[in-house]
Amino acid sequence: MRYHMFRRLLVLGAGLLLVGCGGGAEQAAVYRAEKLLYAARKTEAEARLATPQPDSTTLLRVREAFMKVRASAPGPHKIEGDKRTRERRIAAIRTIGAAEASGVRLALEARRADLALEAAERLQIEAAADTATARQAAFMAVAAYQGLRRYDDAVAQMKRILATYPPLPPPPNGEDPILLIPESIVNLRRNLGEDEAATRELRFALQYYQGLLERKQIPGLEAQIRARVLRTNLELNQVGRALEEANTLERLVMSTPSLRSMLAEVAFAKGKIKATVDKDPREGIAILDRIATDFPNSPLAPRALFEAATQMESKGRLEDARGRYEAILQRFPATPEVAPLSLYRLGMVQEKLGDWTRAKSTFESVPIKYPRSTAAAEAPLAVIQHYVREGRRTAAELYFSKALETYRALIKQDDTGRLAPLFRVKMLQIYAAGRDSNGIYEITEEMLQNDPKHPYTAQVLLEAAKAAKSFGNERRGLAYLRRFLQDYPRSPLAGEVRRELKEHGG
Amino acid sequence: MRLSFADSFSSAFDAARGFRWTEYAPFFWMLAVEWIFLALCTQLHSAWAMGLIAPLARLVGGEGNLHYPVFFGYVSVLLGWLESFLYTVPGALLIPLALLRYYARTDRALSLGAGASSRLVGAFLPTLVAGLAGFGAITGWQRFASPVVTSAIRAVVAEPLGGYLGWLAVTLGGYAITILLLYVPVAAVQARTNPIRAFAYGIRFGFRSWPVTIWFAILFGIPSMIVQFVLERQGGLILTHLRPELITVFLGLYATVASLATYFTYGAAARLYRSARGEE
Repeated sequence: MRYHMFRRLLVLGAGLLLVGCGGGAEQAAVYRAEKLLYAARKTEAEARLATPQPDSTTLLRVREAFMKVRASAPGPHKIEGDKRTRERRIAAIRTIGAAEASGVRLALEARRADLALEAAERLQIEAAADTATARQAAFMAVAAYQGLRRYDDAVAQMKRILATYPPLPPPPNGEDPILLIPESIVNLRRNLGEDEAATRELRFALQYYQGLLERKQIPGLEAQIRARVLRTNLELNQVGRALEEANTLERLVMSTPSLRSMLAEVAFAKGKIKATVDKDPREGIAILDRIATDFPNSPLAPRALFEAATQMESKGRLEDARGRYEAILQRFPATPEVAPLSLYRLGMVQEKLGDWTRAKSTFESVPIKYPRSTAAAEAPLAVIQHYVREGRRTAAELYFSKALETYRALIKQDDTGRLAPLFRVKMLQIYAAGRDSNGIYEITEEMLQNDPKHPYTAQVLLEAAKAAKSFGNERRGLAYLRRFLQDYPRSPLAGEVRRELKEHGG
Repeated sequence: MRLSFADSFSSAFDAARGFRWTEYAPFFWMLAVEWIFLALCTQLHSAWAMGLIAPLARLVGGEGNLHYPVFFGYVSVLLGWLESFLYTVPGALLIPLALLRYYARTDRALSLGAGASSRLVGAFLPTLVAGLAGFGAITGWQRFASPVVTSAIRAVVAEPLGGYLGWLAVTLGGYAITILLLYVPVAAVQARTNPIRAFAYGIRFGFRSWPVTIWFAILFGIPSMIVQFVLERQGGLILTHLRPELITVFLGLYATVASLATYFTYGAAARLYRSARGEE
């Protein structure tokens, strides 16, 4: 009797245990993944503590620790079943997503964008069931394409994101990154020196934002979209439409108390339009100045001051412009959009005011203070151009080596490789001015190796071909032209290059 | 019935000196369950451990904490529930058993089993009720009274001392409440009693002996209070800067010293009760 009772109890206990283990295995897998993610994060923290800038071998070793997470909870993770099961699977996907995102970040830092792209593409498929993770993976793919210098693919991927994922309601004091994508595309084209394409993308951006407004949006999101429409119109110089949009946005903001902070956007647009269109820009500039005092925490505050400063500069009111540039550098020195450019423009204004000693030291401080900016690429050339303008050819040539040294240092500091092509183009210009054939060939080879198919490389190939010809090295010149045709067959200049090659029997 | 600090002191001293494994064993069984539970907590990456712990967490509404490393911030709460259950339900049988084993030192008949089992069965209900009442009172104290006490102390004494004193007052308050119910199992294992009478006697003795009991209860509880203090004040540091699993080591240590403290407290209480009421 006792034995039977014991046996029944044993069976009951085992049954209960199995019931518990049913979801237990899956929950344990999630837990295991979280534990591995925690360990990987600790490994990374320790690696960074040991060396602030770990080498690529260390970075890839740390990445391996993150890769273990995915292996511990292999997918596919279908979000189905009861609420508890669904929650468990979402937790699994998000843990893997977080680990893969770190892996992608490390791969990019280690200059292994190929690994980053592979991980991003895999995650997009595996995490398709969870929109948040799939979206994150799509963004990771954009970064990977950029790391691989596959800019057209990056743009295509960004447009895929826009087509697939609608923007989400804004988080507190923030904006869904989806809304930033059109602007990122434009900036990418601009950084590549493709101004026409950038204008095309601006029009695309406008179309995209207007398309969003065709659907009913919550006021917070609608205001952010309208602000984007407004900015895009301003960039396209569609003043009338921008003003119309500013008024609509103002009405929306005024009727929704929680959106009052967006009044800065309206004021910025109105100030900019007035300063640009009105014969007397003073009222517009006053509006822009007020933004910096009325909305000091708004991201538009430094932009408004910059806008006011450039307006002053263009109208020849150099002292006023200088004051504003200095104010930006004092109050918003860490604003990447305007601070580097403000420092560069300050140097220009100082030069125009006749204070060359100060202007030179300002130009020389730009690459030191803002090494990851386009202003850093322009500043050394500004010094050379000053000497050339003054007819001091020897002084300019003496400055070449210093400028080249600066660009070398900037390339070394450019982890992402985003600005390196621009710095190399500037170096090529200096070598060309100094008629240094070795320098020109060296830079061209560097660009072919590091940034093949980059628009700047196309420009460098053509200039190097011209220079080689002028140095009497026709064979090298033709080789550069052939490479140009091979890498840029659809370039508008391809026909001309083909003709030239034919003429020279290439 | 005479109650003096001298008797209380000699009871506590005798209890501390007279450790016997057989008397401690019932407490050890409960401790063993806590150790097993903590060991399982470090193995949640295994399906079998998760299969056992997840239903427990679900039962007390903490399923959302089954994630690494936040689980180790929650495991003390889970252990608290388990400890309360063990000392209340199985404890209703095991605590009287330990007391009977102590009384068997002088009453050989008890160790033979027949008399012991009837007294054990008789002690179960009052001990269970006392355990439940104690659990309810402590929960109420922690939930409703302790915020008031803590903020009152903080208003008078500046931080960080105010915080420490507030924590100490809340902990000692818990001891003060528990002492009132300490004698119920002691009274319940005595001969010639019934559950209701045992409960009433136990409570009455608890009130009367409160001043002479609380000091040794606190004295035995000091080690567990120290570990608890470290865990509550430095738990975050262990979680974020050291290995989160270390929390279970500290909790294991806490459970051990708390188990020994409970054993010594009941031992001293049993001796004091006997000296006050005479051997039955």
